[in-house]
Amino acid sequence: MVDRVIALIVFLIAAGYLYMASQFPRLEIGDPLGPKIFPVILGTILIITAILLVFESFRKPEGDARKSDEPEEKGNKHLLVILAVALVTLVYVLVLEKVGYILDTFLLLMVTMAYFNRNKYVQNGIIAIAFSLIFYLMFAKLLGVTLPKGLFYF
Amino acid sequence: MDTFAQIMHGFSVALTPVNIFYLFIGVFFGTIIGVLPGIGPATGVALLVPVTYGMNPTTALIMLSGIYYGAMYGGSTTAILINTPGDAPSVMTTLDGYQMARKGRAGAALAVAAIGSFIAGTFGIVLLSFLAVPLTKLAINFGPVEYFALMLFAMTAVASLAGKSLSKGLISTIFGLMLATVGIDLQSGLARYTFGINELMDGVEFLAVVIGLFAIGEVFYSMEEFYKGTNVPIKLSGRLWLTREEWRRSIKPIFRGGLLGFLVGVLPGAGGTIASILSYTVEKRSSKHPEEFGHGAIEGVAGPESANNGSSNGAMVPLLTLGVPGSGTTAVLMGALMMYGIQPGPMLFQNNPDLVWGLIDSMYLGNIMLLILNLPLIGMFVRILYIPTGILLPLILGISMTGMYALNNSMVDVFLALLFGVLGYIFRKVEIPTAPLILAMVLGGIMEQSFRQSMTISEGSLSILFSSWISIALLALAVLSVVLPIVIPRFKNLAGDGNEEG
Repeated sequence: MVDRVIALIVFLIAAGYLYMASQFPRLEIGDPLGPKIFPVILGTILIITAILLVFESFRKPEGDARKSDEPEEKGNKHLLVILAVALVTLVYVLVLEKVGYILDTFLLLMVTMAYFNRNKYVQNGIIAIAFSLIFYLMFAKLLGVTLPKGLFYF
Repeated sequence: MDTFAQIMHGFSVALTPVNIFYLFIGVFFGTIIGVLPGIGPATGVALLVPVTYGMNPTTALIMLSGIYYGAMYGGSTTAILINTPGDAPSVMTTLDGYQMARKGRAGAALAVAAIGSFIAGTFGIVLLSFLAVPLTKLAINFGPVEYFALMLFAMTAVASLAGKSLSKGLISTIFGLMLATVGIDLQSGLARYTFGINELMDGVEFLAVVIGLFAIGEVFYSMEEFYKGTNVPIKLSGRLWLTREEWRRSIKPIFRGGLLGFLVGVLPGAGGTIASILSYTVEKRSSKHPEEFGHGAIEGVAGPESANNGSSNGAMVPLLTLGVPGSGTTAVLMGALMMYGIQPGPMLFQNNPDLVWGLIDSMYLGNIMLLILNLPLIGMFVRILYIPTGILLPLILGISMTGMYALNNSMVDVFLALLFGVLGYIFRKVEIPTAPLILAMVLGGIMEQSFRQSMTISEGSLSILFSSWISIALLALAVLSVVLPIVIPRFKNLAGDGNEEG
């Protein structure tokens, strides 16, 4: 079941990719086939591999059965955690240039470690401060790369 | 200059204080990355590329390669002490290495892994030194047609061996090729698949994809695994050396494994994981007491550990001489080289002998450093295993984000890395291998160019692909690597899920 869903998504991506290739303007100069031919070949092969995947999923149904037998609620809870971490990281990226590297990275580490390394706030705090300071200084002093300063002057 | 003189000249490059220093940094972090479960060599190399910013390309490559083969040493430590491979190629070491540790022979297991890796590694560099020049002489005659066929072979081999399913390997490959088509087409000036985003004009940043798929994706995946709990390391026991009997039993497996690993490493697609599986099988078959295997036979550690080190040297052969990597990690090395404006391949030996021979010769020294780091100093690295995963994972996430931003000071790159991180997690869940995507993305641009050059020469006729025996042979190999796994399903099981192939 999972594999057939993947095949469908892959097929849609291939179709979108091919549609965009078909919109490329035709060029009068240069090589005979132009910038269009390679993407068209790729899109076509991708459609073929999606079909191949469907065939594969019919050939070994026992693998699929095992997949769907996995306890659903357990999987969902894990998925929520991953989703939350991804969202926290997204927020981190969004505010990085405004808040500044040191504070933003400190907060990212504190929030994620508060969940994964529970109830050890002092330990987590020291690690988070040390990490953001060391990396900021390492990039600034040794490699000459200035990470976002944000609210601070250093 | 003849080869020997060039090899000697390489030492003058490798032995400058700056290069020795960064070589040490490379093998040191390589060992740490090898010890840490979950981060493989490709991730390690990608995470440290931003640090090489502004470095001389030779120095940068010496350091990054050190991470690669250094990780092969470190991987065994985790396999032996906590029964979890530090990276995919050391998976066979868990079978007998962990059993040896449980019987109080952890010291001997670690020692034989380090010594075997050292012997096989040094042996592999000698082979690399003397094979490189003849191969470049062969490759110098390659035209766009032969290159296209060669890249096709490399990609199909990796696609069919990297995962459990052929179609998923191919899907991953095509995704990589598609990513390579993003940006301005150099021949026509047409912007393709940029969605109007200016930062995409130069193409998708390669490192954003690598760090996303490998590092961040792996962090997400390990966070899920986090609930299952981790094993407690077995305490280091026994002297870090071998008894006379253990020496006698190990020496043949070390040389057999080293040679086998090197040969497997040269071939595209089959990297360290397959090398160590093959070596284990060979040792078990040829052993007088096969019943000991799985219960702490030292040959089961000596062979595979030597094999995966040999393979990492073998994998440098096609990368340096042909400019076509055959695995995920060497693809990342190639991507790094291209960032410095250096195109690996036969011309590299003529145009940039300092870089090539400096790199090759630095590997001798790197192996000596690794032997020291992994024998007398291994206790220091074992402590890493006591860092709670709950701290480690957020830190790797932080390092990924920092490196990504520092690379180009580009927010788009950081977004892309996060996006590919989520994608990498999904790939992992639905068992789509990521190594083929990375390889295809690195080679995609060159592949399209060589294809179009071929088509220009032939005025659009595909028959040109069959115009030389070399390209016919390579195309036949490409077809075989796709068809064989279908015909012989048992062959597929060898590969396992080498998601991050060495």
